Amino acid sequence: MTTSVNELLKQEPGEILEWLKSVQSGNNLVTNDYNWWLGIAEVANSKARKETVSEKKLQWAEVAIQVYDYLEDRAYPNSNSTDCSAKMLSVAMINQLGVVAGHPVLDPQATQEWFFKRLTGSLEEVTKMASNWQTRPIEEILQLRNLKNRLNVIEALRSAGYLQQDAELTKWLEIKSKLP
Amino acid sequence: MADLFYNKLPDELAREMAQAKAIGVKPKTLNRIADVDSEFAVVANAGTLKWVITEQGELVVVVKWIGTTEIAHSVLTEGKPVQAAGEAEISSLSGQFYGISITNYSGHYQPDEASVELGKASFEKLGIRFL
Repeated sequence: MTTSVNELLKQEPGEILEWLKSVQSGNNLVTNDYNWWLGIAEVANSKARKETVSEKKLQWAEVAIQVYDYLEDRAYPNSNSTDCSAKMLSVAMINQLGVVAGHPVLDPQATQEWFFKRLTGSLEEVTKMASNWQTRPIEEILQLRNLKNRLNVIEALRSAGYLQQDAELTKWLEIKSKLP
Repeated sequence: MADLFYNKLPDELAREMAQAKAIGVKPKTLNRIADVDSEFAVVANAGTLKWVITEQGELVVVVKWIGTTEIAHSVLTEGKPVQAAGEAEISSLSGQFYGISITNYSGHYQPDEASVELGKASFEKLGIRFL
């Protein structure tokens, strides 16, 4: 039986986190439908931004990020849609609640590390690919577009003043406008 | 006519519309090739797009994020039903548009896989072919 997303989301975020745990442990069977899960993430994402109580706000963000992470492995090949949604939510939470070093949601350093971990080539290689991207195979064009989407996250974090000046990151940001 | 998909998260609509209004969200309707213009090029080159095909068959798009705020698909239709919905990556260079990828991702409308083909066909009518 498919649980109603609307009913589920009427619960407190702490209860939903418990429910997610029970799903992950296999004690609660639910649908594998990608968009059903995405609905939970989208609403939790929105509630995290609007919630005024810090503890609940972070719990909603955790619900969204856990579901985005779950979906990341189930997405179309090479799609980074939910990966970027999770990180954009982190940036929004940092904007609203401030930096907490070592926190899974509120540490800007984690987002910077995420960016570097996802790189698939050197700056030189990517610059070369970007110079004639329209002639390249679709897989490479998508790779470059995904990089642009991740740079959008980094740019949002940096423009809010949460990333220290980093020469390497600056160089990556400089090629963003050349990416498809 | 294709099956319709309904907004599965209507409880959120008022909040989503208010938020979209507050940050000045302007979905773009692409009815004719002339609508695929320099304004759309700026939107497409910004990053991921959300798209819907409305009940009337209009293709409407919006950039997925404005700042750090994610725009819900329901904002494109004010919560009305759609024939198809999803996300797309499209890039523009020297007046040419390149379709990079298209999906049926929408937690609000939860459309089926057929949305991808409907979306591709609608963009193709406007000269945007997915590679």
